[in-house]
Amino acid sequence: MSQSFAAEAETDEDALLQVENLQTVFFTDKETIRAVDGVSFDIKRGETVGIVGESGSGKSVTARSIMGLIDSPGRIVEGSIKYKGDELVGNSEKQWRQYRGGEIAMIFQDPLSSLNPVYTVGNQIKEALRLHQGLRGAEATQEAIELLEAVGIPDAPRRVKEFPHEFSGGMRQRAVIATALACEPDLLIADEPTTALDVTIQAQILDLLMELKDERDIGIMFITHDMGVIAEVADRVNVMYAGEIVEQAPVENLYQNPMHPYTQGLLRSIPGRTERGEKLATMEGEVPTANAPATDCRFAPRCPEAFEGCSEVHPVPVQVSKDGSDHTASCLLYPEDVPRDEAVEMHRSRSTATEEVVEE
Amino acid sequence: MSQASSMYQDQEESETQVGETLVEVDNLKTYYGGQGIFAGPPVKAVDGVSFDIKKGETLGLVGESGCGKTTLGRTLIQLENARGGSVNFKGTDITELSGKELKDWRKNVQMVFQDPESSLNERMTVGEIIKEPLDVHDWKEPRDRRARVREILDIVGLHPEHYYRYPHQFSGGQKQRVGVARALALEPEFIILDEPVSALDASVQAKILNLLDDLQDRFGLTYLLIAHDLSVVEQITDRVAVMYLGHILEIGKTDELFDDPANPYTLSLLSAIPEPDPTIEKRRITLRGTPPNPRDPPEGCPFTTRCPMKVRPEQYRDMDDDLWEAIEVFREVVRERTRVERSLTSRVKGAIRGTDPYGDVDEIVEDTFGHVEIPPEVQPHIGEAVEHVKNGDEESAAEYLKDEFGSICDRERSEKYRVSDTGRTSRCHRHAAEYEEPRESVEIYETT
Repeated sequence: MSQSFAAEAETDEDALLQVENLQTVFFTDKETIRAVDGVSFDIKRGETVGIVGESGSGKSVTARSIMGLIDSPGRIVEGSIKYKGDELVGNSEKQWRQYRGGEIAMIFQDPLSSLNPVYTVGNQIKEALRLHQGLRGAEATQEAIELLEAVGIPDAPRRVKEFPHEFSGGMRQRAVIATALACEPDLLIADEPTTALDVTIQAQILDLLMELKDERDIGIMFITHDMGVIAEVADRVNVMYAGEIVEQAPVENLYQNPMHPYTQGLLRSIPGRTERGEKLATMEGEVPTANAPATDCRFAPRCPEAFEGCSEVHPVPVQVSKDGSDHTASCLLYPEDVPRDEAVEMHRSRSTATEEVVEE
Repeated sequence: MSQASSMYQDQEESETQVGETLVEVDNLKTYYGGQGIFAGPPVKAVDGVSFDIKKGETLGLVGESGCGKTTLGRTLIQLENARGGSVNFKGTDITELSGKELKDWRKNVQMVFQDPESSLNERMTVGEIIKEPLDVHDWKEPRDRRARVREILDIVGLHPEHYYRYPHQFSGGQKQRVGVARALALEPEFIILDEPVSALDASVQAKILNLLDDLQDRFGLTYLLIAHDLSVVEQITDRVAVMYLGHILEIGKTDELFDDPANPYTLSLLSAIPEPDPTIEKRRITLRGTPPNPRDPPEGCPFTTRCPMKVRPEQYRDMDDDLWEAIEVFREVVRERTRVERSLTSRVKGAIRGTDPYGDVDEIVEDTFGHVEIPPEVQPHIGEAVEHVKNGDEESAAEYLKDEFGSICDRERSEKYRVSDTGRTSRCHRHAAEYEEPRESVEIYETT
């Protein structure tokens, strides 16, 4: 059978990070928002895993959950996050701090707001060095200079004494990356790191991240909404929609053979893949907010291929790969090689099965 | 709807026909500051650009942030005052207009801004927002204005009931539709779109771009599209101007410019666009550093400090590429240092020690040239520059390096060369007969 349901999550021993059925929910007076709703993926050493999706699809909340940065009214209600085999969900703030920065570092979209304007860039790198590596004084300064050089900032000895406002946008993002690297993390979470930058600077930062990944053998979780950037940097891609991962695939498969109708629509709507001067394909509607556990396909209202089953059954991930690679899509259209009724039935039984497991 | 288009047609009978020149920009300059006895040099945001825009076409304006593209757009509609040059709009030099004349003329041009969140007043209803330009220009009777707003809501794909809603009740894409509606209210001929879709998600972006395209077909609008997203520009423009540090380096038909860029900057910029297809192995030219400070632009070609295809002096033409790059980086570091305003303490320390204030120029040399071998004929020149820096005189060091390693690119601005039959022009010394064309001058392009 070329297409089968995804085997129950195999425990991958060499995975750096394993996220299993993560559910992060925000409880507000008005409504309950299931920002991340049952997300599972893993990241290995030396690998870049991309997460793409439109705004509101839950990309950033996934990242913040992994960093332990979810504040009230948000809460991780379900699932597990394992870093090098250690469970992170349920950690106290003190325990989180051992991982945050030191083991798992994060870089954000806007470098200006992630740097403190009243301290020199050097001071901010030295703060990280002091907290996580116990370096102080001249030793720390020397290390900070070396880090700035490592991220390609020329004239580092002078730059280390400057303030963030004296840096250009690209240079600031380099400084942020230097700070993130200060503690030699094994996992780097990059949340839209190049969105605020020009293409020429974006190219520099992407080159830098890929170099650092190879040099230091770290895992990178790369979040972006730009399909072009993902194609360039990622080894594997997770496509998110309304809090769920709807398609998971190695990067070449995803672009050559998108299986989920949402991924197909997304790829059709970007200018780079359309003939010059042609009308761009559009998708009606917008990303919904998930308020209740899914009982249907959340993409169905916008899906050009939706049928009755889509509003009744919640699809589960199905292996859709034709060449044996790990490619899954959560859509009732699959598996393609069985009659549709049967496929829907399989999804129904599998999704109720997972619900029972959750309830236990 | 048919009513709307007929209104336009009535107005257009005596107007410029499609294909004729609508806007003619000649040697336009917009500077900030620099006036008065004690003022420093001005920031030359737009420094002598000339081009024209034909009726009914879309001209794209691309470039990195800070290159002056928004300032140029704002100057075209007199939101900024030009320091020199002229903007001819259907034969009137609008840089000369003022008072009532200017206000009357402004009906012809509108602008759509980048961020719909901040360009719409939160406290006004959508109807009021779209009606405001009509009120300002005292357009017909209040009743007609309200009818006009409803008509425009329909044109941009919103509903009549949206009239009484507030911006926060809309999604990003809908807000940008309101922005477009407001620009359309006075039936302008010319609309400046300043990054109209860069704040939107891909699927929403596509809808707004399609809407703009439809409106252009329907009303014969002329667009100036300012954007840093080159794939958007490629998609919807007829011609493109590539801007760098206040200058237009290349301008021409979109198809040609994207398929066969002539200017080194255009080449680099296009090669940096991430391709949404992982199987394409693209040879990317990654530019070093960032554009120079517009307060202190390079003397020669504006792109000289980062150009990968720069003309080298005769004696260094066969130099190893890595070494050449290291020299360029070193020059840039020294140049940067001449611009830094030194703090009092570092100046005092420098005066006491009589050495360079950062005390580490040797380290810089070590870092910059560590991975390459410096041949004996180059060594003394680097040494000489280092001596100048050690004496705290970065200016002389920069000057010395420029004399030794500089070329025509560092000394003179290039003329405009015609690079295709359709009249595309590019400013680069390499188009001159005695040098190799930019594309042929680097090996990197052979594979693409």
